[in-house]
Amino acid sequence: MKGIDDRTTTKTDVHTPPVTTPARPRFDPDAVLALMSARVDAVKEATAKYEAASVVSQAVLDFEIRL
Amino acid sequence: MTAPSTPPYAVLPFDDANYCVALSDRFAGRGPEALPQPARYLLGYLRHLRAATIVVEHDYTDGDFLDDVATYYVRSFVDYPRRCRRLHFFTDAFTADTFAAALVRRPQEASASGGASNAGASPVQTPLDLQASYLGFIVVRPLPNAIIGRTVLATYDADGGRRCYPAVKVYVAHLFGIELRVQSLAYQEQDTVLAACATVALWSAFQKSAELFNTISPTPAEITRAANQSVFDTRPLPSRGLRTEQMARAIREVGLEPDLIKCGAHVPLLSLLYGYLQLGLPVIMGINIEGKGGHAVTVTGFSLRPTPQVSHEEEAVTGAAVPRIGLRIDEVYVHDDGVGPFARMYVHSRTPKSENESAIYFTGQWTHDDGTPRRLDPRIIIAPVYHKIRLTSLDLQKWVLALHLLASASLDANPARALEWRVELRQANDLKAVWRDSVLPETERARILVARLPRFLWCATLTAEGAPIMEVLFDATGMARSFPGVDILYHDKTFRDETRLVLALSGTEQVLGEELTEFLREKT
Repeated sequence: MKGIDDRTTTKTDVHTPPVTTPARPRFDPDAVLALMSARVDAVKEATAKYEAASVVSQAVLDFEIRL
Repeated sequence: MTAPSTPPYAVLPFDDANYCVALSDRFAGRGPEALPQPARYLLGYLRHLRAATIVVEHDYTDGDFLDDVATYYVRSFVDYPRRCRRLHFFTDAFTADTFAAALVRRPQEASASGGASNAGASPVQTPLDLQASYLGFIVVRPLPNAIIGRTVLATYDADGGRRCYPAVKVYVAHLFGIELRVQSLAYQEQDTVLAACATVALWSAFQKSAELFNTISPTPAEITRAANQSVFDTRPLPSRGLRTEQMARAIREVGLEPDLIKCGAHVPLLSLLYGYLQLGLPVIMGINIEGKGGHAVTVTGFSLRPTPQVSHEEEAVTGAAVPRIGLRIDEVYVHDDGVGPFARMYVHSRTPKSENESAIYFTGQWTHDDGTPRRLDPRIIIAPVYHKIRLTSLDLQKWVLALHLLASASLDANPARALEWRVELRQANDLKAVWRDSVLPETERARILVARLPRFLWCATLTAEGAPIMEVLFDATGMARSFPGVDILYHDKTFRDETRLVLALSGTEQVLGEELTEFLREKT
């Protein structure tokens, strides 16, 4: 099985063994939800930017490739 | 019937002088500096591949050039020959005598002797050995300029795994009855009559899309004709280039759809290229060459390093940056008809000056007169996709953002784990082959391997320190408006358990959205 950096000239298997997780603090789902809530406006703004980026204007269609 | 005045082939040791002569007698004795740019690039490329012998096939009929002749050159006042030369390159050194012996040797004789040759002769005498040292070929067109026709050469080596060429295929060359194979993507130089750079960029991409999607692989003349069916403000021939709209038209003519993305400030360009290339699909990139103008190249591969090489590839909103695999790409490899095949473009990041400027630019072999590199600004990318692939890479980004919000908040408890997302277009059967061989739990493998999946999937994989945490599958044939999530594979049981706890809380829907939350609850 190949790791992510064992790629050769073809599509690759990018799966590697699961990470050995170091000891973690006790998981607090309420704290996670609070953290997510604090960032949600930024995510909504970023989503709007991706949606705007996917609109193709006439200027893009008219881009001339002449070299 | 009179015997031809030129022998059918010649065998030459590979060196600068012989390479020039093999291309054309008019370069004899003039040295590599007299060669036009792509021919000069190919000389350096073949040196790097350690070519040792050239076999010149003097009388070769090339289908693409024949179509060019039939479309245009045959109606010129000047007589243009319709047959080409084809140069084959090998890493082993051998003589004309040993090649002649290999030509007539029966395959069973070769295997009976274990591939060994006659005493005193070179070991490269059997078709099998010729295959082992085969590097590919260059078709040399009998034109005054633009002599480099269809060129199929091996890629650079993988250099420890960093160089990746996903968009190649196997080509079979028949050399006097000997079948020789090489993995590559065909390249050719524009002749500026039937094909400009945009046409040959499409031509290279169609070589592979034809294999992937069972569509046609048209000649340059056919592509130029198709592209000019919608825009009539200039004459199609001689071709002076194409607009984006015309390239899109040419893609539709072969039965595919153009996934057209403008390279603005908020487009993660390198990760998008990676995503399409992982299907094996070449991507056409329109670039503006500083001080020269619009140009098109075909992206065929990339160099992937173990750690990030650029600080950013898009202008991200503060608090919503997604770490993506594109940050680890430091070079992309392109078929650039003005340079050559598998040409390097070095990746640089910058702060975009406007919404329409990419955070990434490139430098390569296009230089100013003083030798400093010209800046190559990406403007568009076009992926010629199967018509049923309706979900684009950009469509997926809103869900990747939300998934990263969940994952980063959950995994923030352990800041040592560097997260990374890669979003790639794959065929379900290819993914199943990967999963079968993966370390997923047996029950999970058994479930997903027999699952009914769409032929094409977008697979969004989250890794931590290089190891997979989860894979989220989206139906690439689905619609962005109706949530196209298909399945989730969890590689990390702890993360799955913790995600369940978060999803059980009321209020998750307000953060992640109802569709995604419902999907996650069902699949987690």
